[in-house]
Amino acid sequence: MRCVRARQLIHLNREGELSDALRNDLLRHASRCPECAAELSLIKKTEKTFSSLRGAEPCLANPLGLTAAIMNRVDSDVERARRLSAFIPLFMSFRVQRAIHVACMMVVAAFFLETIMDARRMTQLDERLSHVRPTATAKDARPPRSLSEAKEMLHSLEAGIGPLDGNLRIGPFGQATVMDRLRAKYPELFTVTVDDGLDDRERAILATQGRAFLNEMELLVRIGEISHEH
Amino acid sequence: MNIRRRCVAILVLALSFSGCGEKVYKVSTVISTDGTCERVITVRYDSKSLARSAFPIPMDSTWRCEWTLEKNVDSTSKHDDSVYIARKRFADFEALGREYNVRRDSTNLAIHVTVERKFRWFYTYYGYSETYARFDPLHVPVPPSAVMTEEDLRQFMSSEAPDSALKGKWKRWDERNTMEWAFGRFVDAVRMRNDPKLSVDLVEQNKDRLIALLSDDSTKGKVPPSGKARTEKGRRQNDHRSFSEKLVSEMALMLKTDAFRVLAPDLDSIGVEATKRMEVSDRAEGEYVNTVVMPGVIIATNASEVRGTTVVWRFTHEHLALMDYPMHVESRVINLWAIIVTGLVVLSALAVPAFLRRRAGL
Repeated sequence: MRCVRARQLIHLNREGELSDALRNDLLRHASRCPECAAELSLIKKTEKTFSSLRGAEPCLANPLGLTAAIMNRVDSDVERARRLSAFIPLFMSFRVQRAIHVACMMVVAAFFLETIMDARRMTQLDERLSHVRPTATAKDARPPRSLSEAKEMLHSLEAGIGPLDGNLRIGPFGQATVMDRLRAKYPELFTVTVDDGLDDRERAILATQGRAFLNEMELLVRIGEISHEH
Repeated sequence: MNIRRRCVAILVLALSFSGCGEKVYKVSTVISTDGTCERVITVRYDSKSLARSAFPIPMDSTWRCEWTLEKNVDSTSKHDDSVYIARKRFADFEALGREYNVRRDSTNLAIHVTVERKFRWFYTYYGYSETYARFDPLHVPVPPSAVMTEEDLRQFMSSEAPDSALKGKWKRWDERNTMEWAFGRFVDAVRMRNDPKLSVDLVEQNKDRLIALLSDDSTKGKVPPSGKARTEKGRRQNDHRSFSEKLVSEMALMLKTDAFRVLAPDLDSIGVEATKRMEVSDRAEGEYVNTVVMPGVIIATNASEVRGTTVVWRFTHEHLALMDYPMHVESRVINLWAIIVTGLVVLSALAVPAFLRRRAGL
């Protein structure tokens, strides 16, 4: 007998496990092979130790009902697993899982979509507020940029002057002096009438003298030669 | 056109059109997330007396009203302004709407207020809208569109301080209304006379010339047509007679018939009636400042001033004369609890299959 075969048989060397012939062959090999003999001796010691433990018995409150209790527990676990398993095909199916994922994505998307739409509205509001026109005072303080704007301004001045006539104060040079000086400086401009529309001649005069005239009037305001009293 | 007047008016515009002694109506509304709201109305007067105004100034016992004195920083006047303050807390948004849901006659400003709350799970939206109805107690004969284009109207209404060109158009429209009305009354007077020498057709045919005559005189301050000239109504009422006599003389010369001279008394009565009409139309005169404090973040409004959660509209009786002045603002409050709940539900939905799969392993 070889050592490999002997090592296999060593673990089966129990009562009723090996035939007499095999047991004799094993013992004969162990008497010749010290390693296998040592292994056989170790197994015999271990077997002897466990033999003493086999004599001990568990102390149970109801040893007779142990089997029944175990079987009941096993039955209940099986039943619960069976109930859960009834849902498993439902939840495990690809369609249901996909539907759950889609629903979750839609909820999240709805949140982000709503947020984005609101952000867009807020951006539009910011843009609108940033383009709010300057106040009338700021706009009116500058000379007109175009002929049409000059025309509009003259129209508005015509409408605005009436009720304010009485509140105007002409400075130290006096109204006549100022107006005469302007009339002398811009003789052609004083011939322009806006109410009946602008002809080519009047357009040309406004284009050449209009802005200079308005600038000069602004200057007069700044130096206080002409002012408005509330 | 007198170029001198143009020149001087440039100065006026450069110095701004801000008026003196105009009433300022300040309305402040605070919207709360608990569904309540508070409104504070402040009106500044020269003296401690409530002047008759088209604006509905609350005086009943449901409002807490008080007078205070405030220094007038804009004026050189030594005496302080009297400020009337009225406060009221409304139990719910509908109560605020009901406060103004009262039928008023056309000489008072009609105001409609709506506040609504829309629950949208992740966010709660608050909408506030308030509209000052067009103030047209005299049913003016000329529509604004006769003088202003749609773009002009849009710009005028969307601007707190319309530019001089737009203001000029408004004044022309206002004057034209006065003149059209006066001319209509004049034609009625001619018709009532039933005088063969006074032909209605002749008057109608010379409508433009007669209106120009009226307009020309009005600009010299003989007729109180509009704007600041109205502040001298009392004095001008006494001037009606001399004005009427002079006017019919000029008409007689213009139309080459002395028959018009008998219309002086009619022109007097038209002048007196015009003064009364102006008193009615002036009831809405003033500056209006409407402030609304919203909960959450402002996401949309037609106001041109937004400061954090506060929006402000500023307008004047000129805006109200043209058309309704709508104000609206929408804000959003985030529902943090809803986001947390949704997150938990989503996580649970994703975790349940994995849990079941693990349990099935038993």
